[in-house]
Formats: sequence, C-alpha cells, structure tokens
Amino acid sequence: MRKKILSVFVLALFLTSLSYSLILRYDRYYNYKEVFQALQKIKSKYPKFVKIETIGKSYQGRDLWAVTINNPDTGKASDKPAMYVDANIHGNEIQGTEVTLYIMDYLLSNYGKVKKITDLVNRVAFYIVPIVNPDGRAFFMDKPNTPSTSRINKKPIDDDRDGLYDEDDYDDLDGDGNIVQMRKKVKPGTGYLKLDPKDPRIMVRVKPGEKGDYIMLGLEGIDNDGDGLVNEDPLGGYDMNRTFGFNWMPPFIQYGTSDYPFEPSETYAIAKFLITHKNIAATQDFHNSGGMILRGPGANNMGRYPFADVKVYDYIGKEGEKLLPGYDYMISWKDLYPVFGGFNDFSYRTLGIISFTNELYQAQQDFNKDGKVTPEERMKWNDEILHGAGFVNWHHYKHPQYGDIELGGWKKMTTRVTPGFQLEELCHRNGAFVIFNAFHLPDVKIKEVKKEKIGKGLYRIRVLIMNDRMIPTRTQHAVMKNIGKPDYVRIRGKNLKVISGGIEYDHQLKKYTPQKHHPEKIRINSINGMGFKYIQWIVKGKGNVKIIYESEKGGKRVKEIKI
Amino acid sequence: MKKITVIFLIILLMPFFVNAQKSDYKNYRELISAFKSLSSSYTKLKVIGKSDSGKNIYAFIVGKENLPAVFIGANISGYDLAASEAALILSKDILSKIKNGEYKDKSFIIIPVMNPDLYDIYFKKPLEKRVKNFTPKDDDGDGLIDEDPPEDLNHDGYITMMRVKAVDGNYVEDKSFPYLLKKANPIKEERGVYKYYTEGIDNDGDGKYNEDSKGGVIINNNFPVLFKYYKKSSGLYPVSQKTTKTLMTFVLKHKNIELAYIIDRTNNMIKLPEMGRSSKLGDMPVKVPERFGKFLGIDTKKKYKISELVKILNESGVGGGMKITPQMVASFLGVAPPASIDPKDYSYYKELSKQYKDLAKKEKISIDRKVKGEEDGSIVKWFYFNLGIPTIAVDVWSLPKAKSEKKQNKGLTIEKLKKMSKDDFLKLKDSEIESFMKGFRMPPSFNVKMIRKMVESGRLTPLKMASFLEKYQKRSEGKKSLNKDLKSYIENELKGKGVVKWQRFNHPQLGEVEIGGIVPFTDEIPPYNKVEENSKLVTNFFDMLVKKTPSVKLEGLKVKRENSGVYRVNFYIVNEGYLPFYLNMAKRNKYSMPILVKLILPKDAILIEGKKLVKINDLGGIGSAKKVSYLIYPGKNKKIKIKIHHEKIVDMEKSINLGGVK
Repeated sequence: MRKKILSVFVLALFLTSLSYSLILRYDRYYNYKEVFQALQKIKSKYPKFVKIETIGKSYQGRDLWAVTINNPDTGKASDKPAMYVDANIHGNEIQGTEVTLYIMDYLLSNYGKVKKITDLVNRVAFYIVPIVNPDGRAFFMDKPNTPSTSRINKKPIDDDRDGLYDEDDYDDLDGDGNIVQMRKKVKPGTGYLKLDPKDPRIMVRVKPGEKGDYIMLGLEGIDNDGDGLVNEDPLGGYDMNRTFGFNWMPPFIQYGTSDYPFEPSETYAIAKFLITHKNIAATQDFHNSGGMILRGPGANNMGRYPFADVKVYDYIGKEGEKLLPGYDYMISWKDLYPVFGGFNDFSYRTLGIISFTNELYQAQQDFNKDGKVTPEERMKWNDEILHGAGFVNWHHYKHPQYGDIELGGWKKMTTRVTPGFQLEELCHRNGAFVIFNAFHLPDVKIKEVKKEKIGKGLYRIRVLIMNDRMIPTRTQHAVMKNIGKPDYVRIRGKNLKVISGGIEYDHQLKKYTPQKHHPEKIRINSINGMGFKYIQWIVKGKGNVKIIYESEKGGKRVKEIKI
Repeated sequence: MKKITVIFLIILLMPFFVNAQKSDYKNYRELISAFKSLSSSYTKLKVIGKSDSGKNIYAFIVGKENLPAVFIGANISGYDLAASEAALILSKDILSKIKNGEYKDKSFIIIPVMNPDLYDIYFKKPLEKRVKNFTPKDDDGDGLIDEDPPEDLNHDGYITMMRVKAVDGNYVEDKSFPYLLKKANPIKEERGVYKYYTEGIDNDGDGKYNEDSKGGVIINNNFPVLFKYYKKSSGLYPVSQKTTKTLMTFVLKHKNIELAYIIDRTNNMIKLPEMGRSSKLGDMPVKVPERFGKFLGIDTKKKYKISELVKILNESGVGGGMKITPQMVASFLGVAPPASIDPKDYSYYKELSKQYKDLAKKEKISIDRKVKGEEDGSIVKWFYFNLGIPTIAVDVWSLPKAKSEKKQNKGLTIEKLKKMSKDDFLKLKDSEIESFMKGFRMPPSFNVKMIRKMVESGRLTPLKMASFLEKYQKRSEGKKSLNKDLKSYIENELKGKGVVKWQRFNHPQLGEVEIGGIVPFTDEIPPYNKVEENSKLVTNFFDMLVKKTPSVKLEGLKVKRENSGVYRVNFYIVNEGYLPFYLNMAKRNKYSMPILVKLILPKDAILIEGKKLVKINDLGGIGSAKKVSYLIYPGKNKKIKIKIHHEKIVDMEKSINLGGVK
C-alpha cells in the first residue's frame, strides 16, 4: 500500500516536472483548412508570441501563411537571429506540416517552464511556413490519391503534348476513395508477372523458365479523353523544389521545373520572404521520405562549399544523426540525386544561409532485421501493425478499355506517410533537431572592453567580440561572394576622435591591421562559429564611449565605457 | 571672377563638344507616339507590362494573333536608341509590304524598346554612360546601397573621366589620342603618371570613387541561360527583374513565335554563336549514378572521363540511332548545361551569316565594326537555348574598326593571302613576307624561312595560314584596339566631335585634377543620320529572313479505293520553307510541340490503320516531309475531314468525300 502511494507520488512528480500540455494532437493529420484552424488555436493561446501573415497565394488562390514566433519583450523579431522552417512543398509529402505545428506548440507550451526553451525563445525568432504547396496538400488530403500523387503544384501542363491540358487524370473507378493499381490476368505465357504463391496480394516478376499470367496496367484510371491512352495527362504542375533561382535549369535538363525561376507564385513568395528577412541565419525544410538530413550542393556543376561552412554543416548534421535515429546526414547530389533549382541551394548559395532539408520517416518494417524490407514484411506491417487498414485488397472491376481487371494496392496514407502512432515521436525528434539548429544561431557578445592610456589624452581601446554558437554571423560563402551586409563594429563618443583602428592579428603583441578609411567603423565581415575578433582603436578624447556591433544575422550589441 | 571666366569659356567652347547628333533622336514618349501614328485596322499597340522603374513596355502587333508570328525585339540594352529607331523603320516597311500584298499568313510582334528604363537617360543632364537599370543595389558589398554615384563636377553636362598626377599612378596618356589614357607598360619602359577615375567625388569616404552608383542590373544579363551567378550586375537570381519577367511571360504566352529578330548591340550574323564551348568537358572525370549505371552496365564506383562515357554510350545503342555528344552526357549527368549551339543549327546560322554579309556588301554597309557576340544571360541566348527558336541578332551601328595601316599598304594582306596558290606564295620576296609578318608580332621562331619550308612541304597552305593569322589578329585585338578605333572614328567621322578636352579642376578630395575624355555613348550611339542609312540592312535582311521561315503544307494527297470497300488515304506534311520546322535545340527541349494531324470520321466509320491523332514532332529544312496514312472502312456517309493544327503554322482543314473516289 505504502509502496503504491509512493509510486503514485513519484509518478505525479515526474508528470509535473515533465508536463507540458500541447494544445494540438499529433497522432493525426490536418488538412489545409484544419491547419489554418490549428494556427488560430495556437495564436489565441499565445497571442503575444504569435504573428500569422499571408505572404502569397497559391495557383488556385489559397493563402500561404508565415508564422512568426517571437517574444516582443526581448526585442523585435527582425533584430534577432532567426530560424526559418517550411514544409510540404511537395503536395504529397505532408507530415512536415505537422512537424512545424509541433515546433510552435512545443516551444510555446514549454516557454517559462523549461529553461533551455525559455532562453531560446527569448533570444531568437522563428519564421515558419507550414505549407508551401497549399493546393498540393488540399488535393492530396481531400481527394483520392496514391502515396505519390502528387508532388507538384496545380498549374495545368500538357504532359502528352496534344494541345489539351490535364485532360486525362487518374480516376477512382470503384469510388472507394483510393487510387490504387490495376492488374489483369492474361493467358499464361503472355504476362510478365505472377502471383506470389505465399501471398496472392503480392506480384512477383517471372524468372527465366517460368510463364507469367499477370500484367500491370498502371494507376487506377480510364481513357478520359478518348485518345486511346490511359492517364497520360494527369493534373498539374511544376515540381516547385526545382523552381528556385539558383542553378536553375530549363525543363529539358531538370524535369518538372517551371519555364523560369520562381514562376510559381508559391516559391516566389517564400523567396521574397527569405530575401526580405535578412536576419534568417538557418533554414530547415521538410520532405518525405527515407530518413535523411540533406545539405547541398544539389548538383556538382557549381563547385563545393567552402571549408569553414562545411565544418558547421558537418557539426549540425552529425549531431542530427544522433537526435534522429536511423537518419543519415547526406549531400544531395552525391548521395541522393542531382537537383537543379532546389530550395536549399538557393538559400545557401544565393542568400548565404546554413540550410538543411530533412526527408522524414522510415517505416520500421524490417521484422527479421536482415537489413532489407521485403514485400512480405511490408504486408506483415499492414496485417499486424495497421490491422489491414493500409492495403486495398485486389478486387474485380469491369474497365471500359481493359475489360475484366482487378484493383488493389497501398492506400495513400501508407508507405511515405507516417502512421499516427509514430507521428508524435517524429514531430518531436525533428522538432528537437530544429531546436538544436536554432540553439546554434549566432549568439554574439561584446565580452570585454579594455582601455589603456598611451599618451596625453591618447587611449588604446581593445574590444573582444565573440560568437558563442556554431553558426557564423555570415557564412564563409556569403563573405566570399559579397552576399548581404558585412558585420561592422563602431566606436562612438561625443568628445572622441578616432585616430586609428583595425582588427587585431596578434592580440598578445597588440598588433592590428589599420583600416585606411573610416577607422571609427571597422569592417569585420563575419564572426565564425565559436569564433572571436579583437578590435583595437587609438582614440583621443574623454567621456562616455559606445562600442556598437551590428550584423544582419548576429543582431546589434552595445557596450559603454568611460574614459 | 574666376568662376565666371570658366563658365564663359564653357559657353564659348560648347559647340565643340556638344554632340550635334542628339536633336534628332526621339525620346521614349515620342517614339511610342510615332508607333501610335502607324496604327490601322490590322495593328495593335498594347502595353504588355511594366519595367522595373514602372514604365510601360509596349508591343506593336501587326496581323492576326493566331497566325505564325515573327518576334522583333529592339533595344534590350535600353540606351540603344538607334535600335529602337530601326524597329520603327522596319515596322513601316512591314506595313508597306503588307499593303503590297506581301507577308500573307504572318503576324509580327514588335517590341521597340524592351528595356525602357534607360531610354531617356540620353536626353538628361548630366549624360552618364550607364548600362544598369535603377534597381537599388550594393555594388561594392559594403552594406550601403547606391551611396557613391558619379558627379558632373565641371558642369559640362557629361560624366567623363578624371586624371590626377600621382606618384603611384599607373596610367599614361595615349600619345596618339590624348583624350584617352592607357595603362603604363613598365616592360616598355613606360612610367605611370596618372591615376584614372570616373568624374565625381568619393561620397562615402571609402577611398574609392563612384564605385556604387545608382542601381542596378543589366537586363540583358538577367535571362536564365548561362546566367552569371554572383555577378552583381546580372541580378540576385535569373529573372529577378520585372522588365525581364514582363518580356519572358509575354513571349512564353505567344507560342506562335517562329523566329526572333533581336535588334540591339549584339550581332550574331557577324560574330556567330560560339561552338564547342563545353569541349573541355571531355576530360572531366565523373561518376555515373547507380540507377543509370546498372541499366547500362557501367561501373558506378569508377570515375570516367566524359569522352569515355560518350564512347560507351554510343557503342551500347541506347541512343537509338541518335549520336550522343559530350554536351548531352554532361547535361544528363548534371555536370553542365549546354553552352554551345547545336552543330546542325550552327550550319543554318552560318549560311544566314554569309547571306547577311553579302547583303551588307550590296548595301555598302561596312561589317568591319566592333559588334558584340551573344552574351551569357542574354535574351538572344534564352530564345535559342530555352525556346529553341531561331534567333537572329543584328546591330544597327557599332563602332567602326580603324582601318589598319597594313591594308593601305600595297604589300601582302590576309585577303590576298587567302586567294594565293602555293606557287604564288613561294614566288614572293622574303622582304614582302617579312614586312607582312611584322604586323602580327609573332614569336621569333615563326620566321620567313620556316614559313617557306612549311608551305613548300605542303603542311601549310596560304589559305590555312590566312585563317590562322586572322584568328590570331582577332585574339590580340579586343580591348587594345578600342582606343585606336575610337580615335579613328572621332577624327575621321565625327570630325573631332565627341570629346571633352582635359581641363583643370580643383577636386575637394584629390586636389588638382583634370577632367575630360570621351562624351558618354559616343561609341554606342551613332549620329542620327547613320540610323536611316544602316537600317536598310536591318530591314532588307529581315525581309529575307521572313521569306525563309518554315512553311508547312499538306501535299501529295492520294485516295485509293481498295478491295472490300476500304479506302487508303495518303498525304504528306511537308516543309516548303527554308528554315527547319524546329531547330535541333528545340527538339532537345520541351518547347517543340508537335504538329497535330487530326482525322475526323463519321461515327459509323472504322479506322483500320493509322491514328486519329498523328503527332509530327518536327520537320527538317526545305522539302522535308512526313507521310501520314490511313486505312478507312467508311460508313454510310463517306465524308472525312483532316484538321492540321499548330500554333506556329497556318491551320489547315481538308474535307474528302470518299464516295466520289474510284
């Protein structure tokens, strides 16, 4: 009895110490409208911290929202280093949106309760675009689809080049709310597939010496336009993650891109957002699937990333592998496939921002732990974990062109989409990765200001400025390519004359490189991750002196001394 | 007192350095109203959108919009007033030809000023040679925007140059033409005297003069083909500028454009597009991604030279008869985009170039001028590489090249050399060859004796030698000859106008300086009378081109009744025009939409052979034909119809009554 009471007490203690009440549920998915309601709910609970704005419209006219999470008591969002997060640029890759909702919900519900979160929310700003492709999400969630239809936006494209647009999409023939596969039994010897003798739901390719009696006829659909072809011109559109304005290539090189960079209003809107919010020092976008933490280059024709930045990427990426079990830190072009005009190339190469792309979710279907997932194991997942809810069993259908066929296959909310019971953990761990990333946004401090009298009314002022985090105030790439404003440190005083000044190259011997022009405003370009700079001035005068550090991504710092 | 004298002097000297040519060019408003006055029932002047500075961009459209269209785009540079004037003259010519019954079945889209933001700067004081638009930009990367523009310090209405004597100066006066300085060459024992700046003060006190003037982006570098990333004047990203976007969206909407004629500083008929630009790719080692490697049986762990892959792929037969080139492999692997014109397309350009030059000779317009070749990120490259449209770029006027003294020389010239036989050459005196070779500053090993030997042995023909020397000369020319060309132009054609004499000025930062040099745009904008003269070539060559556009026809229709009441219908879709219906570049990219041949049958007829919708992807040049064939079992009503559609051709329809066929 006493033991029980004690354990209840311990449990209660545990609950209070770790409890945070999220206001949304993360075992389910939100469609476009529900995401809007969810955002409103978060805003109404934490009105002071949340700003929701519409930053553009989709092709079909839906709003693109950007949410700012900021504590106004500690300063304006635009004055703080910021972390940008977006998701769902590919219509069918939905779960990133839930991750973004979770991040907002989690940060705000832990604010004031957990020190690390409180400090972070006080120090940095978050900009979050939960859905980059609203039409794609609405289409995927509200209409019958497969797990892979579709990643694109909804601008009509003449896929089969017959002068008509989107005239032959897939069809939910049996009206069960799913687009699945079509298969047909044919005369033995005329097919290339047969049924798996152990599980007739699975199709296997015939081996040499065998006769096949099944063929596949593609995704569920009919010849809508009477041209003799089935599903040859489905809905939409552009692959928007190929439409960004860095290393953009035309459609015949990069499949799926638009006629010119930023043609889709959606990607144009987020590019404009990034360009105008110059305090963004890190970006994260979410895709599915496969369990990857990706960085650029997207293609290898534009050279490698500079060494100093690779160090930052490697640090965050490798830590991410630890926070996200099963995820691999990879370089897009080398380890995955080439991408021209992708988001994270643009944000790093054009704007100089440290950028990661996560491919969310790996189903844990390797039941026998041999490192491979077989079709049988996938079926086991359906049968024993999802209890049959993930797969449409093959059933007869009379097709107007193909005659007697069978329909069947995986439902859209499987394979790439995380099941509800795993979603919250996925949200939390990826959220933790974003928080880790945001923790490493530049944190610049004027650590010390020393003065030394060297002559009559003549002083040597020495200032130590330090970045306590891994992300630089300006990436090496940005410095090399003249992207953004350089960091400056100024010295100011009413009765002060600045005679000389510069960055120290030998602190111990008090040596510095004099800046020829405007010595009162020293151009320091950047402060590296965990880096520092010593500035030295020779000044004449007396009274109050202000040291001012200014940086687009590092913020503004002021320190005052008296001489 | 002193000031007054200076002003008085300036007024007195005014006629000497004010350009008399100016008065005749129209400003933007006047130019557009000149187009308005051309309007008739079959023309339309419409605003297609805005420029970056908020100016309207106009298109003058002649003919029905559903007809195949020729696009005429002038003045993408913005300051090229002559190009816009030529577009006006060309428009008038088109209208008069239409009146005479020519140009049937064609429409014309004329954008007289593609980049209006820089148009009126020519009429403003002070006149500054600027090529960038006015989009605010931090040129020098100091975090400040447009903080150090030039100033007209001496108030002569021009932004010219300043020179100041300095111990560490590295420029000297060009003795033959004192209005220009040149870099001192210490190897030739020249000691630098001057520092050389554009006219103005150091507004932001950073020690640099006029390094961050107002704006901007060069619109003709903002197009997405071979866009120069990180180059500030190209823009932050391709199509970042409103002007560029307005032009591109307009062109993309007009799928009937079959030919583009760009009138600006570029002339790709004199300077043909570059070939073999990515030939270096052959040696670049690359890995093949696994998904392709498996399929082709290539080791994906090994690195291959692109040239090796080309060989493997061509031997494997994956091309299906198409020859695989290094450029194709490179762009497929994502190593590099195509940077060179397709060889077959090039042969068309080359032929057109020949005809252009012949025409110029006939019109007595010199082609010996400093034209620009196709620039990276330009509208010309975009039209060709992304849209696959034949794109001819011509200039109205460019700085004439100084006549080389050697030509006046009665001795040997490159032209003479070209026509010489081996024996002719060997008959020349040593001294003749020597004085000829002197002009090229060849390495000493390349002496008369050696050349004689090579020609004797047949390793070198006079023609080969001439073309080699020509290339060598061109390479060593370039910027160096600008001074010479300008001098000769100003002295011989402008009779000394277009320059500002060096005058002392007390500069607030530099102390005593001299201000002077060349009047802005002297080397870019010709005297107005040149426009009319040179437009003849622009107009007549255009006329030639229009008559060379593809012309797709249905020909050779044969209907035959076969056994059992079925009918065989055969015909050809044939190109009667000179240019192919799609260049090779268009075939490679997505923009080559097929010609649609639609067969319309009564409901009870049966199509036994053939397709109801035949897609003809492309046709070659003149005479290229594709056969279409149907086998039809007609119903009661024996009437069938063939409809042929494509945005770039005149739609056709043919009704056939099979009942009347024997």
